[in-house]
Amino acid sequence: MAEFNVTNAANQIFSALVQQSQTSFQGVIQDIDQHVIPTMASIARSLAVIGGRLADGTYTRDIADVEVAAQIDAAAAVIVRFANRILKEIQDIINAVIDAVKQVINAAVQTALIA
Amino acid sequence: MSILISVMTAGCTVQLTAPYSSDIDTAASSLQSDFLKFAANMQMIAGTPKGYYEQQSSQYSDFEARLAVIKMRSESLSGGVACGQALEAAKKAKIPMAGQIEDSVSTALSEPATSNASCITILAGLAQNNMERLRGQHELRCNPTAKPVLCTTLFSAPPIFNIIVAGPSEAPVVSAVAITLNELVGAERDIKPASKE
Repeated sequence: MAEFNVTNAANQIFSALVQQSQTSFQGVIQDIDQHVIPTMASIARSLAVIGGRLADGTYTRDIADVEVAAQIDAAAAVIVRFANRILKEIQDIINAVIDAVKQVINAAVQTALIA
Repeated sequence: MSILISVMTAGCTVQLTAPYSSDIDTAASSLQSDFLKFAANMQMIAGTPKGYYEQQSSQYSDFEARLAVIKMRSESLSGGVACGQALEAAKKAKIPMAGQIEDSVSTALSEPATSNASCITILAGLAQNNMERLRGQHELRCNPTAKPVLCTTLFSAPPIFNIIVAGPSEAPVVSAVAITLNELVGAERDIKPASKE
């Protein structure tokens, strides 16, 4: 069996962690800028339109309430998708680390101990 | 901690999100496309007899049935952690969420039916809520006895992309439905495994 170098193994695993984290969180930041903020801005504009129509008498209070509730659910949908995205990125990071551990261990024992 | 315990049982890989479903992906994308065609058509005929709810009600039956199927399929998929746990973790990590919206999400998630639901299931539920709001408003505002302006303000004027993109959204409910459907489609695409080349 080859000699197991703890420092090298830790470095390889850490490198995989850093690489995947950078990739994942770059994507998340890009998503905030390109999707979350513009969509929230669109919802904010819709809320302003509803307020204007209520003020000028086009809408009754009941209609305005339903339309506002729709905007809140739309905003909730943006947040839920974002949470889903964060889960996916964390999942990718953990799996990248597991994969790195697997490769380090299998290389050390020179057999596919971990599938 | 509970998230960790629940994910470490999946062998040598971890599954935090709901598993990807090509069925849900296809069904949600098709629904989104059909809804936008419907909304674009409604922009042309709102305020005329052709746009009355009684002429269009079958569209909502179709959309709502398809959303119900998507939600049922999502509920039947096992794996991943509850979306509520992810939102709770995000809250602890101080990821900013506006107060009223945070309350809305928390309220939805504390209901028994949604407390263990995946993010995809919750998104399908939010899309159902907004589709039903649009149906109800269409019924109330587009009929022979209602003022035509109520129908035209529900759907606004063409082009349809003014409703969808971050532009001057003059049809707030249609825009809200479009956003929830887009988030549903996007969330399913987000969890699609990368193709191995």
